[in-house]
Amino acid sequence: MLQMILLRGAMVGAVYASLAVGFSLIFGVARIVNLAHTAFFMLAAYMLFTATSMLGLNTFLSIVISIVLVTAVGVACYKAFLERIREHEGAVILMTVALALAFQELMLLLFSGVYRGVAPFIAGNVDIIGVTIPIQQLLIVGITAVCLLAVAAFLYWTNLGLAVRVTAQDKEVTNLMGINGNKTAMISMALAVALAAVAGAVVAPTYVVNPYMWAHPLVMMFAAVILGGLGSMKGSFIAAFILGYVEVLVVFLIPEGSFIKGAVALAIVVVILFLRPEGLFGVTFEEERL
Amino acid sequence: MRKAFWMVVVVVSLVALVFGCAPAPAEKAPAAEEPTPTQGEPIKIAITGPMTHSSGEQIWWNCTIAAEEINEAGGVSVGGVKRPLELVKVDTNELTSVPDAALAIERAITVNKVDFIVGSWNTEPVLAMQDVAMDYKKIFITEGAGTPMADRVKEDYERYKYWFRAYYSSKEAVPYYYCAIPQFADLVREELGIETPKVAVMMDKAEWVEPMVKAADYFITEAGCENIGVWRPSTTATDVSAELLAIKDAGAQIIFHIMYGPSSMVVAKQWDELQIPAALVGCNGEAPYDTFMESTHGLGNYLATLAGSSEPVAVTEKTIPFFDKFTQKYGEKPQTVWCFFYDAIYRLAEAIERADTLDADALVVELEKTDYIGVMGREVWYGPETDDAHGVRMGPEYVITTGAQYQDGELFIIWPPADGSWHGVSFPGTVEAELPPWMVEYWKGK
Repeated sequence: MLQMILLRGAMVGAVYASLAVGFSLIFGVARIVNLAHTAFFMLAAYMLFTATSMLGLNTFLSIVISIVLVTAVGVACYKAFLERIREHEGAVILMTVALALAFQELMLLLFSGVYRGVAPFIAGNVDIIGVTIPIQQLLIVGITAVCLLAVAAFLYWTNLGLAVRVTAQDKEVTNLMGINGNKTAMISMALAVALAAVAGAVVAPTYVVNPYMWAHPLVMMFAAVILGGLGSMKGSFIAAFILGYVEVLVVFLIPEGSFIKGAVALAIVVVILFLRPEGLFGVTFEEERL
Repeated sequence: MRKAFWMVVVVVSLVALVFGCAPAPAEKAPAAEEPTPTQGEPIKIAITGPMTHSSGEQIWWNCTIAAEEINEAGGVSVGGVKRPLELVKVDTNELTSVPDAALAIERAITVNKVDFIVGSWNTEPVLAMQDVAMDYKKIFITEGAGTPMADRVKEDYERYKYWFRAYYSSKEAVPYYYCAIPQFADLVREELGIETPKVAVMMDKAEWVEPMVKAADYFITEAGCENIGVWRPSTTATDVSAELLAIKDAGAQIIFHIMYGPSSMVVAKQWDELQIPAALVGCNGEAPYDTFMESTHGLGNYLATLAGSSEPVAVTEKTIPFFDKFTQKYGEKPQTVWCFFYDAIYRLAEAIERADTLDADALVVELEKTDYIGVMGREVWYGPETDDAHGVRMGPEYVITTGAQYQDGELFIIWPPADGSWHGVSFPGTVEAELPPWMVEYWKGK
């Protein structure tokens, strides 16, 4: 049982991590609470379904197209709807909720509410420490890990990444140093949406693709971000795995309560916030961010 | 300028929110012919359901065929005048929002001025809709297998008498849901030599399923099996692999599941992907649809479920002609569970003609006397004093449901058994149930 819990928790945590890190990135840099983040995850799943099942395109090409197109949609939404209002958090929240609902209804209109499926990229299973794992689920962990490492490398080893990090640390000084805050925020948005799109594309074969599939991951992603500390990518990453493991533990230890695995995870978030309101790796001073 | 900009933002956001949240407005069916001087005003029936989902589509199609047939035969006679049926399509969005469903039905009554309401199947929203319909004293024929609707009829007859269940309740159907367990338990004994198979129960956390959960121990023990645990994932779960792995770890040979919604497709896919060494039997909401194997990309073979088959069974002499007509018109096979709505339109029409009025109180009396041979069997409603008030009676002389299993990508009937051992009832094309090959390989290797 232990090995099943260890491996399943890692799978669930990986999906939440890819969503939570992207959300943290855009919040940390642009101070945008993007509640449409998981809607982009849903869009990518639908685009992959369209490309593979309806247009019959090659899987790899379909993944690339899905990620690129969704990222483009995300950047377009940022420029059209969010850039001018990003100083006003209330308006941003309202706008991003509206965007998410609009995407949901668009998918309902185009695809109806019928449940869709995407074929796994590689069919079959492997046995790891006595646990049967579908290869697709290993791909989820692997691809997510590669993407997160790539984002980390971008942030810490490139000048543009440096600009993103300093913008997150202190926007006023960044402007004084001649770094274009708007451009940096847009790049961060593109990165964040790309991460969500990657998550949507790789997870689609294991999910049921439907217009409402963005709702539950949004709640868990938000929980991971708050638990980890708003704006802390490291914190979001770790918190995502904590929540993933809590969900799996509930299923294994309280079978009759598996429907409340999400609620139990959220209850733990509440308890931790009581003890440490800024989250596990949250900042108490601005200078500590990231 | 700034103020104007903000106002635009707020307005756009509100519009988007409303657009996003509002259920679709009612649609009318392609109109019946304009009443001729010899025809009366149309009788308007709201057909309700989650119209963006396959189930809503099937409900609408079933009711449309029934209405078209009745209209082609001249309509429904009321007070010496033949009146056509006019269907009003109402999207309740009931799979995601109970308030939407209640709002949709109220709008159908107050804005569309419907005379009757037929449709819907999700118990929790149906409960809310039932109250709205009863407020307006509208005859409301729904599915929804949960028992609380019937309890209300029994406890407060004067208020809730206008509600009828188009088919059977979950309480009535319990023995049928569990029919697969003895069948598969025998297979486990014969092929794997395991005398007391272990059964894991996996059921949606939903109201209508509660009678099944309570009955689990009894039926599992009756079949000579051991109940090793009950897992209750959410109806909207998008990942049940943790549950399936926990069940595998517990050593189950049979997983008895009752799942509807997205979780039903997820469980079939992940059970096959993970090669869980247990037979997956019970009732899967998505499995009977023609599109199931396409949506799962071939995963879910050997899943056994209720109420479906790739070929229709001749329950009555009306069944096959109806199935053929439906398939020709819509390009898809009708799902048996929604065919009760086809019969419901006829039951309602006949009750109207017997009562010779649209008055709801008089119609209740006639509906309660219904003894109708439809495409799904002999449909008789239980009386209001019974525990299953206004629910359809099940049994070999009434309505039954069939058990089916996917074999080689096609859905074949496996229950009632071909030998007629169940009350002498059997259907052509019935095959033997099979255990998944990976399961046999796993347990023989142990």
